[in-house]
Amino acid sequence: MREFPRSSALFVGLVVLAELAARAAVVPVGNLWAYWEADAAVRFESLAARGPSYRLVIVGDSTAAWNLAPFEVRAGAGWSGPALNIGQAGNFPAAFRCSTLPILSSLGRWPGTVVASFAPGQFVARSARSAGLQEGVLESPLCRSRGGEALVHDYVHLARVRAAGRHLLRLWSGGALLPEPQDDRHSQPPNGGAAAPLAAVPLAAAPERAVDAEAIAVLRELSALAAAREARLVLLLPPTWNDWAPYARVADAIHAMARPPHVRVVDWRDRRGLTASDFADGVHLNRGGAERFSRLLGAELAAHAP
Amino acid sequence: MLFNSFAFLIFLPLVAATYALLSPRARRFLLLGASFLFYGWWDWRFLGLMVATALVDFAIARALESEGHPRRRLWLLRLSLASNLGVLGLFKYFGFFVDSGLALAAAMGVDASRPVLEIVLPVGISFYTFQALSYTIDVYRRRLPACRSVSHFLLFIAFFPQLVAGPIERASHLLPQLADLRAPTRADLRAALELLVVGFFKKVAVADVIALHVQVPFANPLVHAPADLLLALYLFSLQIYCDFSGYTDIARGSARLFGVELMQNFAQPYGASDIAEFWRRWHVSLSAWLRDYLYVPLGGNRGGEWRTYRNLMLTMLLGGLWHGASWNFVLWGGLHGLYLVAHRWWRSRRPAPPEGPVAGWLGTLGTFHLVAFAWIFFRSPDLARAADFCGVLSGLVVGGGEGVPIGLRVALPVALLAAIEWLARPAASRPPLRERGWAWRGFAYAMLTVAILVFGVLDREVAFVYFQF
Repeated sequence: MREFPRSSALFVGLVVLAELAARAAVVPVGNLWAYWEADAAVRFESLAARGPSYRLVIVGDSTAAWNLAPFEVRAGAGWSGPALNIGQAGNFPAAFRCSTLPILSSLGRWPGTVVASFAPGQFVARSARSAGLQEGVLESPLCRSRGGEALVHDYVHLARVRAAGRHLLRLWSGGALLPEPQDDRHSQPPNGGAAAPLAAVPLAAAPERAVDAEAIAVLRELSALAAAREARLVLLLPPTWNDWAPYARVADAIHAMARPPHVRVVDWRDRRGLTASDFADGVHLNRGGAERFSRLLGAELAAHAP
Repeated sequence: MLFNSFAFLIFLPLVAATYALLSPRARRFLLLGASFLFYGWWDWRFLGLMVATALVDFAIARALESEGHPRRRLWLLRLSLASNLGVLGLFKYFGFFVDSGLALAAAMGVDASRPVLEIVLPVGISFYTFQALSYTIDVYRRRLPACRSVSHFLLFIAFFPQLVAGPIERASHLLPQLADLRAPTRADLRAALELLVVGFFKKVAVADVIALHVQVPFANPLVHAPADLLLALYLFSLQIYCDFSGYTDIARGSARLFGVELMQNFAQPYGASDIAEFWRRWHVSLSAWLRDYLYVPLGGNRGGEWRTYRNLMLTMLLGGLWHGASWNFVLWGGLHGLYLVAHRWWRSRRPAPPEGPVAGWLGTLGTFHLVAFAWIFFRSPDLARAADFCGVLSGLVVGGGEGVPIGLRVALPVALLAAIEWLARPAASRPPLRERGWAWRGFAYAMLTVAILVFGVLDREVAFVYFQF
């Protein structure tokens, strides 16, 4: 009958040992494990670690991630120095508040130029699909912890191991924990980047809804932060496939945030320099379109550089 | 309160430790209070409903026992049926029948508006009403004496380990154990530990992880290829098994901490070689309830071949509707009814089942696929999506190319689960995990716990699928 205490002691002892091993293993990873995906963790933490050294940083949602190739923007502007795109599908203003704003506010000095781009639809009406994408960011341990929520991961490091796995493998194989992202990050629109027929243009419907004050407030926070740091922030109104009535209201609200010389609004609603064949869907460009648009934007940024 | 919640992880050890220190009489009141707290954690208002229906059944059973006149006894039984089924009908099926009636009226060109009445479904109502019904029916049949203590009977209805999703216990099995609440023995604790670890593993590390992968294919089958939908269907079959049997394991393990043995609800159902055997191994407490209190009273197999088929169909249709107030569940039950009818028809013509390992494997494989096919209707959010799923799966509708990505997070826990199930198979020559040496058990429980912590869904409390019923 002594078997039960023995097996229980062995059980508890082994779990404690595993937990101690996990604690030792995941410490070097920092909070990379807490992100919604490993690639995003490296990009976001790169900004946190090397923020001021970047000449250009692109932030926002999928219109930032997929429409803007940072090296092309840099080339279009004729700049040199590192460039980074931490745009993320689903990183709409509410998610942006927990994923990106804390990093930018933690930087004493900002990168040379920060370009922020958000799909206009996110300021008016959100589809179930985009709400699901945003949930992915909001539900990450990072955002939940920043929201003050207590998680199992806070106490049990074994719970961090799976998410930390890719970073640990890179570290153990001799790689850097935060390798400088080298790809030009504009190759992942929903259809893989190919020019596609515009079968489902999400901006066709024009719901008569007011502009979401909460979403606008996030951009206002971002603008205030840039002004306080005397940094250069560009709020981009991205091109859309068709003229979408509520976009005017969104644009008005964003234009009101301009605080020259620090905060500028670059309005691309007129799709200048782009054709229908550059679009992958209502708000996303295909690979070729993204490259063309990035160069055009770079030239625009250089032309208005202070 | 969910089993897989932080609150329960504090609640259960606290109640178990206090229980061990108390006298048998005080234990009953502790468990009763704990059960009310457990249920009231979700919504205190519905605690009153549960207690009220239980008190009605208690009083009716006492009256049934003392009443000798058959006609008056029958009326008392009807009163109990009306009370339980009335509450169930109002809270669970009101909206369904109103919406179905309106849809029928609209199809006939009659314009009718829906009454503005949204009724919240009290959690576990289907389980505790069926448990209460079986009690009054057994007292009516004079198979069971009426319970004389209100607190004793309330605990029978509200005993928290099995309150919200079963097993649906018979009074003849549970009431005597609750009448004599004993301290748990080491054998109880050993069983409890294994059931709790395995149950949490099945739920948190397998079912909840798989749930993340099958959500999209069932919500939007048209964007997937047939092979991906087949994978999603296999995964859901595993998810529903791990979710429900994991819940049952936790329920049985929790009860063992109080020296109470709940019935086994699952016996490796996907190993069944025919559909009748599947229902003897899947949700055993419900199958037995439906057999004893519905199928047999309908006439069972006593009225000839066609009456047997009719009774099987009716039982399974109502069994489907018991699961949820939607046509999906009716169709799911109807499909199983058809399977059982076909199986019975086949057996009546070929009484001797084919023998040999190959026939056995083929039977198991075929049965699993029939069951899995029916899960499409169980899991799909509505009939249109179920039709889309079937259309793409059969190749009649062209689907998209979105994959169902699964990686080590699914594969490793599933491999561990396969090992557990293999060790526990009925034909195993060696004893199950619980009977093996202490080192074996200690190591296995540690591995499962580490797997829960590494692979499991820990950052949110995912409700058990059967809690909605």
